[in-house]
Amino acid sequence: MIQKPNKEENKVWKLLAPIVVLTCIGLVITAALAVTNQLTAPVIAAQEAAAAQAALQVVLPEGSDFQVMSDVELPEGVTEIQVAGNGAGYVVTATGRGYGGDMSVMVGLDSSGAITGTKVLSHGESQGIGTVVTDDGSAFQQQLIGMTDASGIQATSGATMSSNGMKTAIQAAFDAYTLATGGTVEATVYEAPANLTDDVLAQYYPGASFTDVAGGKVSDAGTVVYASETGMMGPVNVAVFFDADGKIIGAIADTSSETPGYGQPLGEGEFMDSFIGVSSGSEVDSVSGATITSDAIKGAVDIAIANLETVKAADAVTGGSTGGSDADKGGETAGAAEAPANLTDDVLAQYYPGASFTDVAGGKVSDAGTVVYGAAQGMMSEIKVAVLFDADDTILGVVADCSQETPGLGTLAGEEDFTSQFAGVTSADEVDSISGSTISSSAVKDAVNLAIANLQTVKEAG
Amino acid sequence: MKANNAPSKLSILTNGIIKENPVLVLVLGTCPTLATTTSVSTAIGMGIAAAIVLICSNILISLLRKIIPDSVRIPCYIVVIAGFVSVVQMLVQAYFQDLYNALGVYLPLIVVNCIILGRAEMFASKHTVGESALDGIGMGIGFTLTLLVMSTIREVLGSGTFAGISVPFFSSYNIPILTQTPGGFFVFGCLIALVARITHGKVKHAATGCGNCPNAAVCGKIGKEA
Repeated sequence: MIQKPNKEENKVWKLLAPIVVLTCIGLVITAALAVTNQLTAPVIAAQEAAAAQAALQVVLPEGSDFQVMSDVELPEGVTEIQVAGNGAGYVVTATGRGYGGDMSVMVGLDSSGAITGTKVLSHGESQGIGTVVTDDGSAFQQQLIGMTDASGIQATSGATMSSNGMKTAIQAAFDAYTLATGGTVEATVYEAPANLTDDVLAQYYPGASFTDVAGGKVSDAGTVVYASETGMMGPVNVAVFFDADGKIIGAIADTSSETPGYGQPLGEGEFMDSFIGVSSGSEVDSVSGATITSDAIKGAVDIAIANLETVKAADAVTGGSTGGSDADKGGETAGAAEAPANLTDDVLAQYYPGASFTDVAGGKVSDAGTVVYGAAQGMMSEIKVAVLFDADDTILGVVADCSQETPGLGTLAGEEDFTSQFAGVTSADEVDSISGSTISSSAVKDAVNLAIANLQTVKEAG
Repeated sequence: MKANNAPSKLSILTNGIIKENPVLVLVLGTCPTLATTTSVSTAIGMGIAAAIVLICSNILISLLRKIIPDSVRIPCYIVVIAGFVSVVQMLVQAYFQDLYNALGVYLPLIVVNCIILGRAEMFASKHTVGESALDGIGMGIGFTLTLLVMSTIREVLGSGTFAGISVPFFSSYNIPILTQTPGGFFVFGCLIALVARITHGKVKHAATGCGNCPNAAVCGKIGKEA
């Protein structure tokens, strides 16, 4: 009877021991960590500050005593402006979108606004291609030294997307310098999206007559404000419709150059309607799988909201037209595309031996199959392609005329190594773009997709 | 504790260097070995950091071996090891900034370095504090030396430098693949083969039962035969 309580006690202790021991060890270790942190935190902070100062001196060698400017409104794309305490100039940290996402660039500017040095802090560019631009001391970055505006920057061939990202960041840095020195940056005047037609206007403002002004349209019924943000593949132009009280009654975006099936469908319909009545673009949720495009549209809507008063007060411009006709890059399928110059009878005979073709609008037809033309804007020219379908509508091959593209880079997109990959695909998205020739090869892919979409039209024309 | 069994203590210390080398014989800690041996300086930093954690955790776990209940021993070891790793990480970040940047994610990953957990389970939980400390030192030296040898081969032949200093002749004839991941495996394989050749026949007698098995820590029977 005496042993029983002892046994019970043992049982309880057996149950409790693991919990007690583990808790005690956890507490002791946590205390040890807290002490170490107390000791090392100031040292680490001092080290990091010294490292940051050293980095600043790489881009602005004569500067010292850098201070973050907190009283200056940061222009878009700029994350930080630091001023050298000794009056040597400014260091601006800015971001631009390259091929592999945002890249963060530190730009040193002397007191007269000329670039003293640049350093890419982080980037996601392709190794050996985009890094030609982002590496320290690259030819691209060396040309920047001494520049006082971004207009003379030469892109590096084969790394156009990365160069453009850098250019955006450098432009933002110049804007930051202007603001930091008390100047004002002229507000960008945005263009209308290509899909803003009179029909769309009539739908939102029945019977209203609009006057074109810089950055939008005004009428008694309301105001249309244009804005733009960089999406996945380039700028996404947006038009936001405000009623007479300044409330959003709708919006459209030109997403024709975004990724088909992901970013492209966002430009009209459900997603754009979700902006109705909001007072900030951030109230709308992004679309999964099209985050970059939806974020670009949301950002552009915010710009439009901010610019509403400016547009309302703007003077009428003469000769303005509905829709940005120059922004229309083959997104519409109405105009029939023409044949590429290198689509010869020999090529046809190779794919369709003995067949005789009849020319129709946008292609050629025969019993053996159909040839459909497509076109898209490349780097230097409009790239024309011919997609060769057999009688069962399977792609036999693609002929692309890239002769006006950059020799050795863009011209690769016209060569058989690339075009032969299209044989048998049902969408050009199945083919990878060429590294270092992203713009030209993407254009060929777009043109092929356009041709695939037009196949039935051409067949019926025949 | 100090006086008795002097020869066996010496063998505990030297076991880790060749006979029971943690990397090349026990094949533990392969991930940091392959990742940090691209240059001599990061390899030495990694070796010393891991050795410090190993020695400290071996001593503490050996001290606590009677207190820690069997059912929660692994969580206890992990907490102790993670604590030491965090301390080392903060110290390295504070006083060796360059090494901290070079080691990157592999420094906190020492927590899951199986050499340390393996020695805690295989050795420290069954031996006295003094023996465990010696085992930690021996294994630490073995790990560091292995990293040093591997990184020397990879850096000198791969990039023509030793600890960042250009080596004549080799700097003009590089084998760049040795600095890449495949090169790491090539050198690793060759070293394992070399150590197997050196210790051939000896290891089987020296190592006791399944103490030589890399999976001994998880099977839980370790030490019973020893």
